[in-house]
Amino acid sequence: MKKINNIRLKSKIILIIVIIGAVSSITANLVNYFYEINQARQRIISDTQLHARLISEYCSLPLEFNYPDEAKVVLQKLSAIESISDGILYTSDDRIFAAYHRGQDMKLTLPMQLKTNGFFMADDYIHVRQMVQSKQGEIGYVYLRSKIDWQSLFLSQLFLSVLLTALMIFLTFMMAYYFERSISEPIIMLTKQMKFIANSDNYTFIENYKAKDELGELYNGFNFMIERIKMREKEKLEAQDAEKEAWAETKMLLDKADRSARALLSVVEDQKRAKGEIQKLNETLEQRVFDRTAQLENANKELETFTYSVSHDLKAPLRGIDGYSKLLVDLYGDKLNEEASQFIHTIRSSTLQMNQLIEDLLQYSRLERSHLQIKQVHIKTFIESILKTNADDISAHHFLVNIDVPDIELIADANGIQIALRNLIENAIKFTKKTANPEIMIKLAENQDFWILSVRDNGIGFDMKYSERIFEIFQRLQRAENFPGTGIGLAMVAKAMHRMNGKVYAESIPGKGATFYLEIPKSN
Amino acid sequence: MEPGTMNQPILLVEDNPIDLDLTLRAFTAQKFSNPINIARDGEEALAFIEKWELGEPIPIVILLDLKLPKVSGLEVLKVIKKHPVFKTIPVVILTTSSESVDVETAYRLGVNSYIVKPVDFGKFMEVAKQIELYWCLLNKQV
Repeated sequence: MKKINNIRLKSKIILIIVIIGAVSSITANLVNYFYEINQARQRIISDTQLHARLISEYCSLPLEFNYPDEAKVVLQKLSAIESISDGILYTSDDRIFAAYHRGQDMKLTLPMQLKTNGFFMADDYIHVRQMVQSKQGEIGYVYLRSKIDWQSLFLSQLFLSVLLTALMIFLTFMMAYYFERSISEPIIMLTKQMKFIANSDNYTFIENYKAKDELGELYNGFNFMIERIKMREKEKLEAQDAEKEAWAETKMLLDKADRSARALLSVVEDQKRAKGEIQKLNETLEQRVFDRTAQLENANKELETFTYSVSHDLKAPLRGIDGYSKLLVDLYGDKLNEEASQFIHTIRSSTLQMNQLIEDLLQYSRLERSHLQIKQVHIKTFIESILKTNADDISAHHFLVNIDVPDIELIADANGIQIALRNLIENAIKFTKKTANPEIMIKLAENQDFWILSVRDNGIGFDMKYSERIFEIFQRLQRAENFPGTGIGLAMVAKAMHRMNGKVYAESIPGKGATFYLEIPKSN
Repeated sequence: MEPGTMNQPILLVEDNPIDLDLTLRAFTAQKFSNPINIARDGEEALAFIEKWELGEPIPIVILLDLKLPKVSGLEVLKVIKKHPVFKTIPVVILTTSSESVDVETAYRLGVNSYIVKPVDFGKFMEVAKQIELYWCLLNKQV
C-alpha cells in the first residue's frame, strides 16, 4: 500500500481502475472457462448417450433375430464419429454380440459398475451403457467408450478466455485513461496553484470549476481559503503596520519614560538634596527657634527697658520741674507777684498733666504686653472698689449712684474688666459732675453669648457721629481745661475688651448723658 | 540696732543730682536729725558694706534707687539681703518705676518697702516724712 501511495495521482487512478477491471474480467472469464468446459463435457456425454441410444435402436432387430453381421455393420458406422473408440453390443446374458474397435483390436471387458442405463468417467474416457429393448423387454445392451480430448478442449477454451481478458483489460485501461482526467486534472491544477502560491506568495484564485461535485466544493473551499488567507495577509499587514506604529509609539513612550526617569532621577536627587537641606534646616531649626526666641525676648526686653526708661527718665526731670517750682513758691513766694505765682501754678499743673500722660501711656503699653488672666471676677466688688477710690468726687458732687448688678462671678480677664470699668466710671464722674443732680447707673444684663455691663450717666454726652472715634487713642472731644484727660482712657477700654473677644460701644444724646456698654463673652 | 548709736545715718543711693538735691531738701524740710550718707551709684553703695565691716556706723535705713549706673539697685539689694550681718538693715526702694516686674523682684529679694517717687513735690515731702516716721523714729524707739 505504501508503494501505491507514492505513485502520482493520475497513475494511481488508472492503476486502481485497471486492477479492478483486470480482477473482474479474469474472474468472469475464469468462471466462463470452467462453465464452457463443463458444457463441453456435458455435450460429449449427451452426444455419446445419443449415439448409444441410436445404436441400441438400430441393433434391436439384429439382436432379436440374431443377425450379428447386421449389428456389426451398424456398429461399424461409429467409425464416422472420431471420438468414439469402442462400441460393443452385449446380449442380456453379457455375451458380446457384436463389437467395434477403433484402431487396434482390443478386447474390452465391460465394466461392471453399470448395471442399468448410465455412464461413468474413467481416465480420458466416458463409458456409457444403453439397454436394447424389444417387444419382449430388455434383450441386451450397448456399451460405448468415447475418448475425451481434454487437452485440446482446455487449450482452445483457455486461448479464448485469455484473449477476452486481455481485451477487457485494455478497454478498461483506455476508459480509465480517458475518464480519470475529470478527477485528477482539477486536483493537479489545484496542486499546481498551491505550489505556485507557496513559491510566489501570490494569492490568486483559480478560475471556477463549474461542476457541483466535491471537487467543486474543494475549489470553492480553496478559493474561500485563499480569500481568507488574503484577508489574513491584509490583516497581518495591517497588524504589522499597527505593530510598527505601536512599536514606534512604544519607543516614543520609552524615550519619554527614559526622559521622565532621568527627570525623576534628577528630581529625586533634588529631593535628596532638599531633604538634606531640610535635615540641615531641621537641625538648625531648634537653634534658629532658640535664636529667634532670644531675639524676641531681647526685643521684648528692649521694649520693657524703653518703657522703664520712659517711666524713669521722663519723670525725673518732671520731678525736678515740679520740685523746684514748689520750692520757689515755698521759699520765695512772698517775693513773687500775683502773675508770677500764676505762672508757677501753670508750670506745676502742666507737669502733673504730663505725668498723668506718661502714666496712662505706660499703662496702655503694659496692657498690650501683659497676658490675659482669665479668672473668676466678682463684678460687684470691682465696682464698689472703684467707687470707693472716687468716693471724694462722688460725695462732693452729690452723685446718685445706682447699681443693678447681681451678686455673681463672671469668668473673664480680670485685669481687662477692671481697667475698662474704672475708666468708664471715672469718665462718667468726670463728664457728669458739673451737671445738676448727677446720676450714674451701673447695670449687668445678659443674652445667650454675652454679659452686658452698662454704665449710664446724665452728663454732657456726645454727638453720635463721634461714637467710634472716641475709642481711638489721643482722641478728645472736650478741651483739656474743661475736662482734663489724656485721650487714652477709652482707647484702653477698647483694647482691654478686644483682648478678651468682647467689645465696647456707646450711645448718647448730647446734653442728656451717655451709656457705655461692655460686651463680655460668656465662653473664653 | 546697735545700742548707743542714737544718730545712725540714712544711706541714700541716688544717681540723679536733681532727685538727690530734692530728696535732701525734702528731708531737711522735715527736719531730719539723722545724718545722710550718699552713694551716687551701685558700686559706691556696695563700697559702704566694706566700711561697715570696718566699723563705720551702720545706717538705720537704706533708700535705694533702682536705676543706677554700674551696678543696679536690685543687685545692690541682692548683695545686702544675702549678707550674714547687714541683711537686717531695712531697705526701702525709692524709685520712679512702677513696673510690676521691678516690684515683684524687689520683694522677692527681701526689700522692706517699695515706694514710687511721686512727681508732685508736695506728695514727695509727705513720703519723706513717712519714711522718717516709720523707719527712723519708730525703729529708734524700739
